[in-house]
Amino acid sequence: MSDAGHTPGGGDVAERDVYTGAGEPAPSPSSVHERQELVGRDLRTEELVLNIGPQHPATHGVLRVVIKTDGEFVRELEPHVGNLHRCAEKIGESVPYYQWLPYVDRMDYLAAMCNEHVAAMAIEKLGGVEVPERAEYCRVIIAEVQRILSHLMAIGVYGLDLGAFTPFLHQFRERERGMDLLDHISGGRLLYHYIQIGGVKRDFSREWLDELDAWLASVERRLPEYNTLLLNNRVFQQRTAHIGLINEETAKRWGVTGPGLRAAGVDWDLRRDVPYSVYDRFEFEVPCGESGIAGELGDCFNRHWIRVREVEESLKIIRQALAQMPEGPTMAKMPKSFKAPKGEIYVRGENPRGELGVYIVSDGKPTAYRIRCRGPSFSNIAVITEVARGTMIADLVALIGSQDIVLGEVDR
Amino acid sequence: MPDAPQPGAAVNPWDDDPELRQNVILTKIDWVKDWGRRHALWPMAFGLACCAMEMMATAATKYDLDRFGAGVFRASPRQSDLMIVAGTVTHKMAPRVRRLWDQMPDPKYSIAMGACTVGGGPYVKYGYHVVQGVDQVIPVDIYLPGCPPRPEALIDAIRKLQFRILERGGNTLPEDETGVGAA
Amino acid sequence: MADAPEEPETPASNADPVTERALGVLETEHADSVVASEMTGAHPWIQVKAEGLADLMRTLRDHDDTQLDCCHLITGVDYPGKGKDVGEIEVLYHLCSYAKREDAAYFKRAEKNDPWVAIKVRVPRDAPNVPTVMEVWTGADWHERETYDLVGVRFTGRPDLRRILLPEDWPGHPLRKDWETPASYHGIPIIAPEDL
Ligand code: SF4
Repeated sequence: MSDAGHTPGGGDVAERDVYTGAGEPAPSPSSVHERQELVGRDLRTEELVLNIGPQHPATHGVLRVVIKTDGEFVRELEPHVGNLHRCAEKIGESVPYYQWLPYVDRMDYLAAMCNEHVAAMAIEKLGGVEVPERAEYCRVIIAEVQRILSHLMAIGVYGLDLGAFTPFLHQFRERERGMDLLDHISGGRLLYHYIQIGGVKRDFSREWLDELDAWLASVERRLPEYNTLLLNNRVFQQRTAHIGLINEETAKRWGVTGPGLRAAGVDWDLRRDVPYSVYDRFEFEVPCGESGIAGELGDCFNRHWIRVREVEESLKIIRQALAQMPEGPTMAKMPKSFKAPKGEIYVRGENPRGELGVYIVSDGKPTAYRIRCRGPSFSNIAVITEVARGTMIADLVALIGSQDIVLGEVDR
Repeated sequence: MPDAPQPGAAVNPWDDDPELRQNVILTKIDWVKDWGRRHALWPMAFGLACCAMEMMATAATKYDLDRFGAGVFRASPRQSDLMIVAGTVTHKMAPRVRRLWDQMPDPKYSIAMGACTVGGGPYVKYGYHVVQGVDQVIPVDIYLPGCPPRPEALIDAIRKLQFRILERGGNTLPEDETGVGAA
Repeated sequence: MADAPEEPETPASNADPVTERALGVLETEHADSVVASEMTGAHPWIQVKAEGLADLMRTLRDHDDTQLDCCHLITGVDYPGKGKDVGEIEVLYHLCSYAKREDAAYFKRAEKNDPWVAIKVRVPRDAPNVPTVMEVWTGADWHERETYDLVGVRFTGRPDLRRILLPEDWPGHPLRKDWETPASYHGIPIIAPEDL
C-alpha cells in the first residue's frame, strides 16, 4: 500500500512532513504539481504483495491468489492452483472404465450429473455402446436438474461474496429440495454415480416425477424472489455492473467457456450448436449477454444474469423432456467387463460452468491408456491473470465470484 | 424458618435453606468453562473439496447447525476453536492445513470430515498427491466417514464432540499422545 | 443450430469435413510440415512437425477457411518405447472455432459430429521439446504448464514454464508411464498402490 495514504492529503501536512532541508526556509510549493513532486521526493510508494487464500472464503475453495497491489488497485495477480489436485487422470489410467465414473463426479462436485453425462458419453462412443432412448431422456432431465442446482448455488454464493447473506439462505431452500430429488433417485445427495455406461441406474417412478413437478413449480415461483434480492438490487448492480470485463476477444483467446463466454456476447452453447444426447429435440434459448440493462457486455452482472436466465431455460428443457419421454428400458445390455476397442475419442459437453471435454485413448484393455479432462473452470480462472489487472481489490472478489469456479475441476 | 441448630450439630446452610438451594449452584469452574465451550464452538470456514458443500448445507437453511451452538463460521483461524477438515488434503495443501491448525488458539478441536480426511478415501490407492488421512498432519478428535457424509452425520459428529468436551475437559490431547509426528 | 433435415451431399468418403478443411489449409500453406493424417472415424487428426508449430497454428487461427480461434485442450500422452527405442511423447491440440458458428457448411457433420480439429505433434521422449503456442492463444499458457507438470513436455520459447498443479519440488512427472510413486513427500508417507 502506498505510504502516501497515511498523509491526509493537504498542502501543509505534506510540506511539514516532507521537507527535510536543514536550516533553509521551506520552499512554498505553488502548484499542485510541485507539491506532488515534493511528496514524491520523500514518501516512498511501494507495491505490497498480498496473499489471498488458500483458506479464504472469497476464493471458493482452495484457490490461492497472490496480488501485487498499488493502493487499492491490483497491479499484477497470479492464481496458484493445484491445492486440490486429486490425480483423476492417473486414476483413469489405473482403474476400469466402470470404476472411473465416480471420480468424474468428484471433479466438479457441484455438477456431478453433468460430468457423468459427458464422461459416460465419451466412453460409450469409444466402446460403441447404444444407449436406450429413455435413458437419454433420463440423463437430460437429471443433468438439467443438476444445472439448476448448480446455478442456484452460484447465485447464492455470489451474493455471499458480495456481502448479501440472505439470498444464500433462500436458495438453499430450493437447493435442498432438489438435492432430495436426486437423493431419492440415486442415493446420494451430492455425488451420485447415477449415469452409468450404457444408461442410467434406475428409472423414474411416478412419485418421483410428481415430486419433480412440484419442485419445478417452486423454483419457477421463487426465481423472481431471488431476483428481487439480488439481480434487481441496486447495491448488487453497482457492485457488479461494469466490473471485471471479459470481452469477446479475451474470452476466446483464453478459452473461457460457459456463462463467461456468453456474457461476452458469443452466442454459443454446445447443447444447441453441437447437440449431443437428445438436446436437439428441445426448444430453448441460449441467453446471451446484453449491455444496457444494468451493465455492459462481459461484466460480472451479465455473467450472473445469464445464470439466472439459464435456470429458466433448464426448466423449459425439463418440461419438454418430460412430455416427450418414451417408454422403454433405461440400461443397455452391458458385459461384465467392459473393454473399449483400440482408438481415441474426444467428447465435450456443456456443463453449468462451461465446456467439459473428455479425451480418452484406449489400447483395447478394460482400463484406458490415457484419460484427459478439460475442466471448464481451469480456463475460466486462468483468464483473471489478465482481466484483474487494474481492478480494485474489492472488485477482484466480485470477479472471482462471478467466474463461479470449482477448484475440484481446476485441479482435477 | 428452620429451627435453631442443636448445640453440637454441624451447621449446613445448604441443607437448611431452601432459598439457597434454589438459587445457588455449586460446581467446578472448569466444568462451567467446558460447558460454555461445548455450546459455543466456533468452526472455521475451511472448505477443501466436495465435503465442504455438505458442510455448507449443514450450516444453511434446512439443517441449521446453529441449533446446536456450532453455527458461527469464522473465516479466520484465530477466532475459531473447531476445525472441520472438509475435503481432500493434498500434499500441497498439507503444510497449510498444519499452519492453520497452529494458528488456532487453544483449546481447539478437529473433525476429520469425509473418507478422504479419514484415510485417503477414494484416492487412497492411485491418488499419489493425496495425503492418506489428515491425522498425519494434525491431531483429530472425531473421525466422520462418508463420501460425502450427510449433514445429519456432521451434526452427529459435532454432538459427539460436544459430549467429549465435557467428558474429557477442555484440553486437546497433547500431541505426542496422538502419535502425530511420531514417524 | 439444429440439424437440417435434408442433407443430400453427405461426404461420400465419410471424412470429417472440418479436419479436411484444416488439412487443405495446411497443405497449401505449410506443405512440408504435415507428417500424417487420419480423416475418418470418431477421432480424426493431423500430425505435424514440431518445428514451426507456432506459425502453423497461427495460420490455422487466422486463415479464413479454418478460423480456429479457441484452443480447447492440450494433452500430452506418453508412449514409452521398448528396448533401444526411447519412445515418443505425443502432444495433442484440440482446437475449435467460434467464428464459424454461423457457417452452415462448416457444420456438415461426418461421423464425429463435433467441429473440433485435432493437431498432433510427436517428439522423442528424451528430448520432448515443443514450441509454445502461447502467443497464438493465450489460454494455452496454463494448459502447457499442466502438460509440463504432469507429462514433462518442455515447451520452448515461452516464459515461466513452472509446475502448476504439483508442488515445485515434486519428483518427476506422474503421467509418464514409468513414473514411480515416491515413498514419502516431506515426511508424509505415500503408500504405493502395490502395497494396498
Ligand atoms: S470424502 Fe468424498 S465427498 Fe468428501 S472430499 Fe473426499 S471425495 Fe469428496
